Amino acid sequence: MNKEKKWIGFKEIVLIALLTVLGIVIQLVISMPFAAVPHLMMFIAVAIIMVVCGPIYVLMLNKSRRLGTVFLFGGLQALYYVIIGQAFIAVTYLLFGIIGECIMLGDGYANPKRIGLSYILYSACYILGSYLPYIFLADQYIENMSAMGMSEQSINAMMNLYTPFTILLAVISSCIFASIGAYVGYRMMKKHFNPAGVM
Amino acid sequence: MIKLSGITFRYAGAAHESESLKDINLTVNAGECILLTGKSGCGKTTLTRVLNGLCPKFYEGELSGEYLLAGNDTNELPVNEIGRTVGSVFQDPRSQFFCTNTTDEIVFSMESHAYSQADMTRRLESLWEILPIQHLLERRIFNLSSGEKQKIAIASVCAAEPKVLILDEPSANLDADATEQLAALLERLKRRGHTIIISEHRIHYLMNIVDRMLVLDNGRIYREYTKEEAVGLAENELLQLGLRKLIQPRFIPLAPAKPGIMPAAISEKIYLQKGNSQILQGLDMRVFAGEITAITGSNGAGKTTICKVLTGVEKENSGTVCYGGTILKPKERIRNSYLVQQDTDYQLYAATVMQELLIGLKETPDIRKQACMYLEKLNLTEFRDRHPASLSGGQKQRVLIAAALLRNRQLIVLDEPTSGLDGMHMRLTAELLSSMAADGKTIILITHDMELIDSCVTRIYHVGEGKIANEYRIH
Amino acid sequence: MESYNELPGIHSHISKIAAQPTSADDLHKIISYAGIDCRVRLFAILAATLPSFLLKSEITLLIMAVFVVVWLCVLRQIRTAIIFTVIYAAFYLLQRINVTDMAIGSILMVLSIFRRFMLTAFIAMPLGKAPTGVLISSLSKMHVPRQVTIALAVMFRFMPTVAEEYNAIRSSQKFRGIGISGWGLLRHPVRSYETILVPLLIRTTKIADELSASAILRGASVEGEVSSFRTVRLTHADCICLIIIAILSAGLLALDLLWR
Repeated sequence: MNKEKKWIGFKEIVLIALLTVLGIVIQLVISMPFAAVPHLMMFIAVAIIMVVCGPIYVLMLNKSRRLGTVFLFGGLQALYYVIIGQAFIAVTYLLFGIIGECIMLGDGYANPKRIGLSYILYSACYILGSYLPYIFLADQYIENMSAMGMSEQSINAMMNLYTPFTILLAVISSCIFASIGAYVGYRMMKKHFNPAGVM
Repeated sequence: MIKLSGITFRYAGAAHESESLKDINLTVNAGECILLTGKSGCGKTTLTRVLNGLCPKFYEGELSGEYLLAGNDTNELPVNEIGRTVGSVFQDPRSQFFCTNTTDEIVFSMESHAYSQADMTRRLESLWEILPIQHLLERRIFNLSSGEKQKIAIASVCAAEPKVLILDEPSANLDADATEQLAALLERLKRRGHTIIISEHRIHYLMNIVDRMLVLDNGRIYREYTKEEAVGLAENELLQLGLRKLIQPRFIPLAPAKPGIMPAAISEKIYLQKGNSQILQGLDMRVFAGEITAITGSNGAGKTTICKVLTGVEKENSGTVCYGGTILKPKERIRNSYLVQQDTDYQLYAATVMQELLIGLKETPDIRKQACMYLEKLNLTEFRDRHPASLSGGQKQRVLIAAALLRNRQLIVLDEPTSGLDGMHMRLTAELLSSMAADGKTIILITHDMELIDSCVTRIYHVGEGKIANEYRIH
Repeated sequence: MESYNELPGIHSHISKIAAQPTSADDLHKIISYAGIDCRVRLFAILAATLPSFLLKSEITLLIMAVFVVVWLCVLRQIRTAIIFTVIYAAFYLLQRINVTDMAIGSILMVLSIFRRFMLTAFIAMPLGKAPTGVLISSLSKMHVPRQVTIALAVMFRFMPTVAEEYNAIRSSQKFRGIGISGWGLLRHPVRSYETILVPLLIRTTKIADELSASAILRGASVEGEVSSFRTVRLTHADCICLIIIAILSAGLLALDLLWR
């Protein structure tokens, strides 16, 4: 009987699915105003997303203290990105799901530090998944953009943005904001979710 | 069919201390219809959760005592096994719907238990005989009315033909028509041999159907009445038990309001269209300060829309709304009125009750003192530092009313303020509203609660087809 | 049906009943589900991924856009098709404008990336709109683990309601003086954040609890075989669709190569 209690059951699956939907919608809504301006998107939008979604992640992992939560969270997001046609990001999230779950093995779900760590990993994967393709498939992107009528100036401006160096900066920035987000998440748990009787 | 012996249950975690059960002994025979009622917090919901197995297997806690279901010890059974015999219809159909399509929702239970297609078809056809929902098949659940949603929820649970049916406050969101239909349906289900257990505050519509009525108090069975005894209860006994009355009051039509008295708010020729339907068609309404006006009408007639337009949450297509003689735009209306909506979950944001009152206001010592005064007036002082989400439905309502009073809003509109409340709290609300009206405020209520109207309402507007159809007054 | 007359207040429904299923034949029609199978819809999504990324010339992209509209119409999602056409056309035309200002110019250029994204996103809509029972049956036929199908079903079920929940929270906040206008929200970011997110999360966990309780009681957590009310199988129409989609996808890529 004890073994069953270790893995996510029906109740947890429903909770994870609902919170993941919420997270996805929030990410979409926050990204929209920044979508036209890639520089801001990379740093500011991601920062906001990581802080806003911190409580969602912390709530999810603390309410469902069972193995498989992080994997399902990553897997569902991967599925979502496959469905909307962004396969590369999908692979990154799947990797996040696997590695993140490994971080949580043992007594991970009772350990705020590990929860925070997996969230930081999430933010890193978010950046890498979104922007690494611009490095590996640079030629493809350049051809796409010029075919659609972008001027050479604009294309260069964009590709100069997506260099390994700036991506590294973005990863560091997102990790910092992810830790802020996790911290905010725990504060919110203490201030709201616990007294409200939600946990 | 059901035998509870010495059932004692306590939720894990202190938040639910009050909703525990103590030493319940109950025997229900097959085909009986039992009514569970009592004041808020008496343990009705917990008892239904023990009966359908959710406590302790879903809602964790300590359970002691024995629960025999059709002769089997439920301790040995997993929750879904108990669910095969005991079907539960919860209070909010919205969060019960798993599927997006009504047909899928109805057959969900049968599919999960792997019935064959022929079996499912047969059971559906048998279900139709007592619950005609054919016109509701193959629809998206998002556009159904609350009565229709409830029919689907009941159909979904009855499809697998469980021997026992548990319903939790089924009439909470239903208008008078729909409540009658519900009573008829329950009777047909009983005739088919189902054992029915209903947890309700509004007990008047059930008096023909129930065999026994159990009044719970503080987790124990306080009184048990047979049908005859229950119907024979005098009014003061019902009041003492904190229950609602059994007889529904009647109203008489009223001549339109006398000219000369300045209304507190007027809406003239309001038209509002949403999507394809014209919700408000030429609404003319006057409400007066110092009065409590009730807006009644069947579900979907536009009552909530009227109040949203009046308070400025929604913008009308044409027409005007005046407060005290001045035409106001929607944003201005919001600043001068307060709408307490039906679902309190969406209206509470702060970490403590005190902060909830102060949100959006400048926190001066003066305001804090005023806030404390209103908390005192509404019996909320002991909850001052509690998280609003941990309060009961009635307490949350009072917090919202306190917030309205603190902001000195003269026009206060409440949407179904008593829909989940027991008799005692409903009367407290009626008293509170009366005292607010006596202070000169203008109060508008949307309600189906006839007893509430009887207790404190002076004018009734009955809405039909997007405008006021009739005006009534209590005699 | 005589039983109708016993029920008070049912008369408004009678006019609708004539057009609704009442007999075994009509139930049979529901059972043999007529829409395009979910597996085909999923295939369409996957088949669209490569082209949306690799296609270069505007013409092939335009052809693909037309296919998307046709696909949506075949699946009877006319409203979605119209919305797609309007937005795509708007973005396309906006991009044609010759703007001298660099900043505005680059924003308009980003719309081109949006157009590609729209192509796959809108092809995905029919999958989300499929009746839940159909979705679950098709996925289990593909031997997708039950946990994943349930999670997906819940996600599709609740995606439309997030906007509703948000609006419900916002409308009552206005009475407290919080964010009566959009700018009001932005001026107090911390307060807006806390007062919107907290009730949203509390509400979501409450829904999660009630939903899973209700589903478990109806047997949803049972391991093992489940049946399906509707007969879900690949019909001739489905196979033809599959082939057409595959040909279109490959054809578009080939056409694109030739065009360059």
